[in-house]
Amino acid sequence: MKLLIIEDEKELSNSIANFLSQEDYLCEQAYTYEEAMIKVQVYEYECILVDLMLPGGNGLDILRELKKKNSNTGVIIISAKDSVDDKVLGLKIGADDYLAKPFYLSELSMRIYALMRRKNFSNNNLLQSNEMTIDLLSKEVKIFDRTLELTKTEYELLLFLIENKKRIVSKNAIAEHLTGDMADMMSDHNFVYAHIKNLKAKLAEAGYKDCIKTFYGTGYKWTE
Amino acid sequence: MKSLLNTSLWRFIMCTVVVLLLTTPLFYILTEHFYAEDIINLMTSIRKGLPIPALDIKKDIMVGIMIQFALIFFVLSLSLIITMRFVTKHIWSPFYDTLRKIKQFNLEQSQRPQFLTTDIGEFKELNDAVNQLINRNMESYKIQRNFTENASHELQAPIAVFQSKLDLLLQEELTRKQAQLISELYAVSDRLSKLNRNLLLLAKIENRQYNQMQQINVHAFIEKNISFYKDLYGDRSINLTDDNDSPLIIEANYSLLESLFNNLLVNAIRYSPTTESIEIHLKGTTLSVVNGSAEGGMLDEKKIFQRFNGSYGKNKGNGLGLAIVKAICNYHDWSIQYSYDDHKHCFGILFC
Repeated sequence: MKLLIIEDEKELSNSIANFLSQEDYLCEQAYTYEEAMIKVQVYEYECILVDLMLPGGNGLDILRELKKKNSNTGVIIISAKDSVDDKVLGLKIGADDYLAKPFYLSELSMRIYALMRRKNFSNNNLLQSNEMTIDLLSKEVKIFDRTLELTKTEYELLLFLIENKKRIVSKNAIAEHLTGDMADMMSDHNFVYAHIKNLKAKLAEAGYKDCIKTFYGTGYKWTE
Repeated sequence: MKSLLNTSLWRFIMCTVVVLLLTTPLFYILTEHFYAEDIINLMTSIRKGLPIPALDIKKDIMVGIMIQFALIFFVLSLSLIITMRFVTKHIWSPFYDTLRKIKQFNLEQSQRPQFLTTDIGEFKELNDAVNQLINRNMESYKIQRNFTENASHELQAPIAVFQSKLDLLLQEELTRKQAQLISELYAVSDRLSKLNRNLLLLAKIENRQYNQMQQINVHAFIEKNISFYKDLYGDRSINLTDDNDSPLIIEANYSLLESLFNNLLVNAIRYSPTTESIEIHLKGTTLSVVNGSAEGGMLDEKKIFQRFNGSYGKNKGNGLGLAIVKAICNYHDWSIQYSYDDHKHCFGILFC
């Protein structure tokens, strides 16, 4: 899958490319407005990550250009500005998602994953992982055709881990993902332990043992 | 342009003349009946060839002059009092107006005071000087605010880079020791990023960038937010009691209200013993959040709403939570009060 990263902070761009290329993403990078414009006009991408403040222009104009082309490219805005107006305007022009810097790469990866799923399998709302089936619409989790009763937080946690499978997700990224807009006020992550513990217990009871691996208390990984 | 002294003098003279004119009949009657009476009698007697009446002219003149002195003194005093009491008050009114407006002026409100126009030189000069001072202050305040906002923006990128490198590092084959180090670095980057975002939020509130207002049902709003925490902290009990018969509807910016409420609630959760419940009351237009105290003792009311005052707990929060709450209250013209009663902290917000 082809993906374009439009980001002037080279190191961040490299990190994203590095992280995402571990999956089946083919990442291209553009560091300036002009570079990005040329690439967007010439090539087709399935997903574009675009920063708003770029040397030479505004990321929103790239978004407008894309929409003029009527392409089906998924767009995620990654911006340091995090202003409500920009967010509203960006989504109005046609961006699919908005992620404020700084973000965790696992969060970004999950957003891309979710976006691609929405774009490509518009009729398929089932997420399959071995014997586990997750219905994304009804938010129902089934293991061996038995429904698993999860709280909202546990469900979000499970989804986050599965969508980042084969990768270690830091405790901090989980905390931020679970608390969303409230994350900035939280200063302890103890609730993450509690929810992981509960989720593990519930999964084990349903016959899914040891699928969440703990890495020295720093991060967690979903293994199938 | 007139000077204050000239205006006052001029008003005094005018006043004296008016009082003098008004008291002229009194002078006439006095002269006629007390002072000149004897002389008139004497003249009449001489003209008619009658014997001169026995008169003590010396005494009469003395009395007459005394009465005149008294009268003149009275007239001057009267006009002085009138000038002092009424006329001066009028002349000085622009000064008191300016004084009142300076006292009320608040740098955080971007409204600059409008002074009364005056034709008195000193007061005009004063108003001009105060205006200049205010403009300079507002300018530097604006620069300072913008600096905070810009600095926070600029910091986002390096923090993002730092965080992304940690995410990459975490994917490597790590030893326990290395994982521990990364965990500590994560904690630092987390603190840094939250501190920065909160500073940015404060700067944005102060720069009045949240102007989208909407009607919000407070009860429904709180219920919705509480459910999130109940799910997140399954072991904590959070209760909402509503004493109002009709729902309280307020006009506010939604995301700011969320930030305010969540900051209060997170503080309550953070600083109270895990076994105690957190009580949220709605009564009239007041919302209060009450929680038990884990460390004991009343907080310093003057300091808690300041940034980074450090008196609220030990390194648990980032020292901006209550400053943000206060800023949001100021933004909406709500008032916030802190009280400590029966070993419980209470933060009350009066929506009005």
